[in-house]
Amino acid sequence: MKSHSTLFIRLVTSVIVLSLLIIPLNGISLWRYGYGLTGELSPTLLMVALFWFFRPTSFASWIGKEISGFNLIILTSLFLGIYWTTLIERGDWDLYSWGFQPWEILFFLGLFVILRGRDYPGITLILTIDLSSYGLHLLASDNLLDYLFDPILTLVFLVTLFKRLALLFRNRLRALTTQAESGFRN
Amino acid sequence: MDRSFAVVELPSLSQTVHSPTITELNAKNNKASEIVVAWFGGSREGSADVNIYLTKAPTGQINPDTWIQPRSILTRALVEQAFGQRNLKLGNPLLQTTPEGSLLLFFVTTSYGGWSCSHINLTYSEDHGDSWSPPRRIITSPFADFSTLVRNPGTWLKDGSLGLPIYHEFLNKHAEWLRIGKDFRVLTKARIPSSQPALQPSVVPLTEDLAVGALRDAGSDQKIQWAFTKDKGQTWQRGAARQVPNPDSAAAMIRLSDGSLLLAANPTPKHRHILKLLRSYDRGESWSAIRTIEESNDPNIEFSYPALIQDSRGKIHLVYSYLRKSIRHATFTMRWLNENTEDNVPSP
Repeated sequence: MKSHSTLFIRLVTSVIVLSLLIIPLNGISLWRYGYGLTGELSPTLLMVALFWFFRPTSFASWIGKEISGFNLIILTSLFLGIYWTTLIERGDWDLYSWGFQPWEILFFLGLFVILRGRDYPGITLILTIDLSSYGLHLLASDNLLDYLFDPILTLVFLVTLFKRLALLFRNRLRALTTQAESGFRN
Repeated sequence: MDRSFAVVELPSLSQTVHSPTITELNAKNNKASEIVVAWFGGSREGSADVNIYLTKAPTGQINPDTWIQPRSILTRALVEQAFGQRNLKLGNPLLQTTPEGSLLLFFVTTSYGGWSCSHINLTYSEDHGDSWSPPRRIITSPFADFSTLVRNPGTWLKDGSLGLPIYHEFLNKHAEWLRIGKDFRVLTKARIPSSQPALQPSVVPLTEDLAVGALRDAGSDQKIQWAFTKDKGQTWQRGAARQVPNPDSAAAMIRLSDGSLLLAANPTPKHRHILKLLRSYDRGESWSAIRTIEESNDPNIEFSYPALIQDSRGKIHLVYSYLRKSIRHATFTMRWLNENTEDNVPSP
């Protein structure tokens, strides 16, 4: 019953948001402004959004178990700290130049799926969709990295990471309080 | 200033015009070879009414009367419609002919912010510029395809791909080399390093493997920056800045039929009030100013954004922005370049 009402609220919210997005401003619908800012989004983000919307339990399981806190830190700092920094910094090389003919990346992703795919069904499914989209040239971009992630996905990782850290901090604080309280009683 | 060469002011349809580009189309489908020039124009740079205009004239018969009336081939609204997203500005057109005789037009657009937020786009024509394909984006950056621009033409490689010099402006300014396949898909990208922040690379192949690039100085050096590749553009190395002053302004470089290099630039450290031709006989190691195309005592006057080609008959064409009010087209011969040159190296 509860899950039905949650789905209903999400559906109503989505319909309202989508309706707002088609409102024109200066002759251009609002979503076009957003699209102008973000450009194409990665299939990974679309898959994550679909999971979150239709299969919240699977989403929680995927984000909670398959991407551990440690991996989330690695992924977020990789995208924020290395990937986009090398792109804009002065120097002779940026990571994005690795992505147009990425046999190395393709090799490692393939290897990951073969060796660890069974343990990570969510990630494997997303990688399959990403690599298939890349193979079929579904996006305007030719760079594999654009199929794997995008700035919005990095923000999602960042928010998830902060939420986890906040939860961790709260639990620690609660444990300390409980410990202190039990100390007084003794 | 030497005026013993032909200069034509191309008809302008707008208050402000800038960033001209030029190419030669070979004869195709009963159409004679033509010189094609494009630029952007509007009430002011970056305004909503900026369009990209194109004009052309038969290669062997260029005079003020043979240029066709310029026509708008791209508008902001057209690009907005094609991409389904907001488009704020239109600029930096770049004409490039394919070995098969098609005409490519690269141009930049921004959805938000200034030119440093630009994307590169492409449209092409199979009928000498009479009709154009719907534009498409060339995605070269993961920041929502943010901050990549184009200015100078590319080089066709032996495998049929196009090596295109591009540049990045956001936070840091650096040049890059993009390789685009026959189907217009990006194959590779390489950074073109420079000792100073640099923009708008102009790349000239010297041998099958070796190419050199002259770059606009966007740093404090105020000299033309230099880079070279020894492996067909796969990797690039920085060269020492050339002894040619550069006031953070665009330069154009071509290889002439005798093997020497010709550079059109503003060889002054601060302003764009002098436009000269410089020549190098040692692969760009040293340069001599050979001709003055435009010169003014007023440093606020601007003759800028040159583009150069040598046509199939050996004639050299230069287009440039004149006070941002009109586009000028100058033509001259190798003989004129070789005669009575100024022969003075511009002082830094």
